[in-house]
Amino acid sequence: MHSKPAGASFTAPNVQLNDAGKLKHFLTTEGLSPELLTDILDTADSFISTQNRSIKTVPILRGKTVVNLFFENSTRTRSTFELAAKRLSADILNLDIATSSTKKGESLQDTLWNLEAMHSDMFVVRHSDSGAAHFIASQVTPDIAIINAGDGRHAHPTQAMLDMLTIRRNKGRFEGLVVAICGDVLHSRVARSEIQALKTLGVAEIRVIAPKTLIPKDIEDLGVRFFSNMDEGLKQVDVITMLRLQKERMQSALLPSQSEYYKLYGLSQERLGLAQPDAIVMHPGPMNRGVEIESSVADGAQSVILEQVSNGIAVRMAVMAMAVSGQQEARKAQSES
Amino acid sequence: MDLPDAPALLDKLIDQTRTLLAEEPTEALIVVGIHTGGLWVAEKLHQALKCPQPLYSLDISFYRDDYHSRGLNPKIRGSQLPNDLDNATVLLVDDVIMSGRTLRAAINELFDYGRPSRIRLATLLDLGRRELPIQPDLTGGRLHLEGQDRVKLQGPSPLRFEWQNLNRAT
Amino acid sequence: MKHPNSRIQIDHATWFSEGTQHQGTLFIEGDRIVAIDQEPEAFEADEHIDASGLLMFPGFVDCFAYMPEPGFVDKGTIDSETRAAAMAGFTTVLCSPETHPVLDSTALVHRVHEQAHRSGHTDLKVIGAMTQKLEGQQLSNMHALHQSGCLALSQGFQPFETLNVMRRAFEYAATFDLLFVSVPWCADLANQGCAHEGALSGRLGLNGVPEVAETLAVAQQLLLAEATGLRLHFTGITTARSVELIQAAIARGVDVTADTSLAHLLFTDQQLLGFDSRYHIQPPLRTETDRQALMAAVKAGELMLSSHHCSQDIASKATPFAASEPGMSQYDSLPAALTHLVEQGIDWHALQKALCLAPRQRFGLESTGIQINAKADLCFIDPSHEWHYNRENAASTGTNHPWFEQPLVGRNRLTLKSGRIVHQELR
Repeated sequence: MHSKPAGASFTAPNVQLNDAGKLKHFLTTEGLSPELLTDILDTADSFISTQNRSIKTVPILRGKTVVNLFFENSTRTRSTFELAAKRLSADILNLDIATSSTKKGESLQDTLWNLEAMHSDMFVVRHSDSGAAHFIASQVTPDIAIINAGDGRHAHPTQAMLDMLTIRRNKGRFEGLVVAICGDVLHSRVARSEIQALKTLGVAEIRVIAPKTLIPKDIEDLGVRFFSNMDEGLKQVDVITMLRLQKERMQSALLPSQSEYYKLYGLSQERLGLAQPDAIVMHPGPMNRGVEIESSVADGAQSVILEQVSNGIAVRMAVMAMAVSGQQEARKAQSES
Repeated sequence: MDLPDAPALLDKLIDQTRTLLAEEPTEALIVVGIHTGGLWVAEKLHQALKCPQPLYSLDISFYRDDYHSRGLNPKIRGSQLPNDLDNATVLLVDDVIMSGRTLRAAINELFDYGRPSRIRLATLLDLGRRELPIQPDLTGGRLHLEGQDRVKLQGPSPLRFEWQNLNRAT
Repeated sequence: MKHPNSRIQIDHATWFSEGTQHQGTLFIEGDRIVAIDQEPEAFEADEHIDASGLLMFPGFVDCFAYMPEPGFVDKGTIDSETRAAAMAGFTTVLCSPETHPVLDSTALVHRVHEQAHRSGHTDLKVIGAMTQKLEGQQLSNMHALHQSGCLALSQGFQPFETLNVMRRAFEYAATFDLLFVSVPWCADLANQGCAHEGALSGRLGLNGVPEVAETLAVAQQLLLAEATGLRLHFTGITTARSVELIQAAIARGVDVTADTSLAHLLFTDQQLLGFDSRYHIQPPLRTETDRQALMAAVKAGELMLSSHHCSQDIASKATPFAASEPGMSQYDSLPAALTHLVEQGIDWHALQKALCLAPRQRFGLESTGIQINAKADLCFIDPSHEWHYNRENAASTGTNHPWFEQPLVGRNRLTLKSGRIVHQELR
């Protein structure tokens, strides 16, 4: 016997997967195989075909209970999860924790144990702390499928996968693509999840474009190229993701002003012309027109922003169905052994 | 026990379908094959009958009643169906029928696309052992199975039946 | 508890002194080592201890630890944490003034010392607050605190309101030759971060604490100490750059010493990958390069080792990473950690210097080498003892350590404080 290993030999176990390597939580796009990410996209594609029918629901999660646990308000994201759950025939409970139990001093752990006792099958979690979804999945309620709907600055994996789906449906591939992520990468969980997914799916190059104050330290270690000059960074790009810029950034001395930001990093028609002629423009929303993106670009022919929204429902249906399935498999394997 | 010859059963099924269509003339017959084996059979029928409508397919992954025990099919191909099936006549095609559960799921899914006026069911081989009150209108042949034996169609060309013993295989 | 004047004979003792390993028999009477190898006349031992297979050290001195009292009884008591310290081999522990209320008055200091004395596990010495309530505005009664037994003064993580207050505090302390224990930390630059600012914090989306949050404080305080003649000790330094800055200052004659905390020798920021809140400590775990530099400095005898022991209750850690309270409970697994460091290349000689000899010298404690007439503060480590760290054998209230409920190797089997057995597992 040896004493405990230190430093380098440590690897975090992938709590997202069951013993058969299937998804049982969806916490991050990091550490998942290209095959699994492709499975998610394929399943989402199948759900898209059900979304054009007169009856849009499928019975797959009939009798299952999904709880939307939003510790941070986001009507938009919560609504898409709610719709996705309903279209899978699940029962859905919306809990606005931000204004209820935590204010009464109940701990996160106690809140979750109470919900677990109600025999829920899935928690869709939005929380302002990075790693909150991991904490719940690994330590609090490991037998309930946890879908991360955004944790702090860490991850927003369903948003990243709907972006991947939008890219695949428009470009038909990932190989050879040059993707630029522009704006407030430092505070963006979407950017982090996108970078991991794009890397796994094998695009040719990922670029981040922003001033240094909005870029995490040592970002090149994630396998991306950093550009502080947007005109340089947009050259030959196939896909552009614009990130939302929040007004608070000016107050915390990260940027001088909106106008200077727009001048240097706003996506205008003229700048868009530097990218490939068939480049697509994405934005995770909500957009600040005239702050990070020109209105005519947002509504233009190259914008796929609304398509992202409808793809979002299908992607969420896919990961919900897959995660509940993965939990069932894990339980079955446990009861057999 | 020998397995039946798939192409021979297919010929019989085509003949029966022609007879049925002669008895029940239909303006726009919609042929729908169930992934994967059923789609191969449907493709042959569709060709033989020279249907003017496109061939459609059905993936019942989201409608299966054993999702709770078997989970989600890892490779879902999705359904290709007209957006409106109201008042349509559907020829639903599968390779083999046994418990009837696949077809229950398929019929449920069809109804989420509208209210067809008629659904006719064609299967290449009927293995009996029904668990639900569902019977094919047309079938290429019947086979009585022992114990754990199962039969699966291999294809698409040539079409060929194969043994699958649950104790031995998988 | 043994009678204070009991006699103890320790057979087959092994110890390190002046670079070599010694073996022999120790004779202890009262609070002193009275003889080595040659049995004094008419010595009748009340207790015989067979120390074969154990490594004997002068009792460890902890340069910096957190006591949960006063103020945080959910996290433990002075009794529970000093008992854990004694079990780990410490005979003297210096504790932070960052309690509630802050230890800024002689009355409070007396109370803490009294409480530890009553428990009798180990000597506890308060590091007094340098400013009132640690608010960084008005100086505390430093001289009186020193008179009441504070071996040094500190601001903990709390900033001085202005650089001028810092300068005045340093000058006043220097007047009475008081030692300032600095936790080098620019709260402003740390920006409420909870992880080392680097590629990993970027990837995990955790607020980063940049290296300069420490090095800027080190550089600033070194210059001010040099200008004011303050005796300065940095506790819990975490970066390679701090080591360099301190070495350079020593070379030009600044009266400065430093220690690193055990956690920074054991772990790096890579451990944060799974968001395990037990790795949430302040200052945060740094890179492997930093860890290697700290290891090298300890090995070279230039850096002392402190525990920064901080017992937490379960609820404080059962939250997402950033929301959890920082700190690691170090005492229960500490001898196993030392054994691990030896496997990693720091030898027992260097550890003895970092944990026993250098702190005694710096904090003005009676030197207790293994020699005749020295105070019998001793501990006995079995570096091959295999055990399982669990709630039953943990003395600290907090089990907030990543090794909790894991098999470990290396354990302290016996502690003597002033000739008294305060921890004993040998029979």
